[in-house]
Amino acid sequence: MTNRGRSTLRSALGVGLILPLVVGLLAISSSRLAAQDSAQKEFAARSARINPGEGRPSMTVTLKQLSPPSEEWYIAGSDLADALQVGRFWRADVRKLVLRLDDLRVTFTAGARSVVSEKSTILLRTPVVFHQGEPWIPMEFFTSVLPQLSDKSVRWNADDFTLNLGVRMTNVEGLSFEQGDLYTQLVVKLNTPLAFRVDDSQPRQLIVKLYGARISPGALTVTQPRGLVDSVEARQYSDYALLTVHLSELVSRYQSLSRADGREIVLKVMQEPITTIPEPVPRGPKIVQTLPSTEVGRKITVRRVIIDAGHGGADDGKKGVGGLLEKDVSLAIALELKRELQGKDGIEVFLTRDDDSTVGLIERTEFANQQRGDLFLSIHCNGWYAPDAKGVETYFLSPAKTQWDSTVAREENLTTGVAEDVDFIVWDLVQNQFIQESATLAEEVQEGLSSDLKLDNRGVKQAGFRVLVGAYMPAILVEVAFLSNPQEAKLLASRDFHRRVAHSLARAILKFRDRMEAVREEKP
Amino acid sequence: MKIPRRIVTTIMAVLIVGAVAFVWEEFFHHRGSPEDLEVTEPLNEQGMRSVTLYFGGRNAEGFVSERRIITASLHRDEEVQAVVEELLQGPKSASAVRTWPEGTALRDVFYDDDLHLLYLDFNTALVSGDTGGSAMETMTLGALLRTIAVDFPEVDGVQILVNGLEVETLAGHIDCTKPFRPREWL
Repeated sequence: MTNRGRSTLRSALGVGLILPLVVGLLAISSSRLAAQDSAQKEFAARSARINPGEGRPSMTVTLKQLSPPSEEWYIAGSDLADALQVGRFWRADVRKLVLRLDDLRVTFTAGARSVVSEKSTILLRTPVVFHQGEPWIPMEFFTSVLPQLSDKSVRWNADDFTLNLGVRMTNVEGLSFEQGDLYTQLVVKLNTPLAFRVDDSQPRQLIVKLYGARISPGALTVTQPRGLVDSVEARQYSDYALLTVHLSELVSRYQSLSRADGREIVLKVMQEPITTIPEPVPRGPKIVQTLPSTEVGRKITVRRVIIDAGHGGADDGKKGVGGLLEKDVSLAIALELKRELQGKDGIEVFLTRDDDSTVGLIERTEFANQQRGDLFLSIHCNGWYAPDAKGVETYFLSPAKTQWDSTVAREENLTTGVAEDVDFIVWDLVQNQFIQESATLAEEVQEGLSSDLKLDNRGVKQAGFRVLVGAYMPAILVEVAFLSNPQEAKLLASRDFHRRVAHSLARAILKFRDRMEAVREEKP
Repeated sequence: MKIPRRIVTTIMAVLIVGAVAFVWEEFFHHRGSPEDLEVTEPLNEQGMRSVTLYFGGRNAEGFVSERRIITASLHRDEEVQAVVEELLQGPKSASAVRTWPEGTALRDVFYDDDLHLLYLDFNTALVSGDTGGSAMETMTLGALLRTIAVDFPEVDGVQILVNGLEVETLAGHIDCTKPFRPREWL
């Protein structure tokens, strides 16, 4: 071969090598771009059936696997919005899809795993994918994100690819209004009796706190004036809901009460009849005045107070930092409280235990009922798995969170007719009748302890306490402070602290008594 | 040693053709041809699923969620077992706290399909460790029931057992004699 022939061959080889390389690189980069852009490759497609609930017909959508190696199925953003029947907004410039879910804005971003809303940011296992001109959302959204963001219940059957959406159990049915001559009555309808508290400290509004309520905020929102009520806002919090009732400026007083066996909360707002020519309203900022209220309900006298020192005997309760035992602290405080309260304004105190003996939980309630107590207060110290937690919390019974069969029992109770004949009451439901008073007592105790003793206020809470079930009287349980927190454990070991706690508890009980005895018995 | 040019050229040509064919096959040929779609079966025993676990916040207020991948199963009790084991392992995040008494272990899981009722049987460490304090007990139950509610929304009730028997409470507070409704703990 000649030299010339060799160089031709070399350049031919060079071009032959470089060209495919360049082509290959171009192919790779364009393919990568395509993957990020509209031509996201599909790996599998399958049709699925969605039953959107609320009486709407079922729909068939196509799900795709778009993000290997994950086998996650994706749903098109438009199908998702249709299934949930919510508005959707797509911003192509920033590749964001926003869904209006009740009062939340839920944002998905193509290429990102996060689902962002006002309530939380939740990470999906696989990212949102841009495909065929719109974002596709992993089906995981339905099963692990949606239940946290809305009141929808979700059932996904992976065998036959069926998604059932429904309304999750809420325990507040809705609102209704009754209009009278000089008043408006707002009725909150409940599925189960809930304790409530009306806060009237803000001008021209009443804030109703519904303990243990699960609401669908949209169903309780009122935007148009109804009589003396201008509007109602509803908000769900983790263990309660707040209804903010905005009032007309004509309202001069209100009453709140529960009726229909605790299944209705009535808020009656009233205006004064105009008998004289009203004085001219001065210009300038109005002087803020809170509304005089009247509590209407059952009158309760508080004479016989049952104090329950938590744990005892074989049951040490929480072991504190430094070896302090909960059962000893609770007994010490209970004894101090008896000393403080006994004989004051004719009050009689009964202790469920006055030494280190073992007493069963049901025995304690039975004792309280036998003594015909007017009030039951169980004293405990708190504990936590880490030293960080501190402060005081007060509990009353949450009927809804406890019983599997209380609904059944209640219905049986109502249908068998036994109730009418012998005043038969299911043990589990006894405390329900006092839940309103228990909430009031809990708020008094919580407020008193946290301010008198400068303890962190962890709030009034509800839980299914065994020792409160069956108490035929207002009943609460107070967790004074944390034995697992070094500073608070030191406090709990001091006699002086026990005395101050007892003093604060006694004051709260007397305040509660005054409040209950001022209650006017009246039907709306 | 001198290799004949013709052999070198042939080898080169074969490599180039191979490379071009590879690039074509990998990046161009597959794209946008819907007839290639294969209908695959959904997750089965061999699959994995992602689950949400709840742990306690450091100050006993609120929950901290974490994700785990578990082996998916057609048998719900196996998946529940895997999820509860993960809960017992504890959180990875430093801002979260494991909500179980020391030494707690899951002995058995049984799911009643008719009642949608889940039985979880733990060892005695659940009730005999250094428990006490309503915060501990409500958060132990809360973290468990919330996790069940989110990962197994079809479960209507959870009955807790210790050594196969019902217990009155875990630490002297919350009534455990009847099944809990997990959805109410969300």
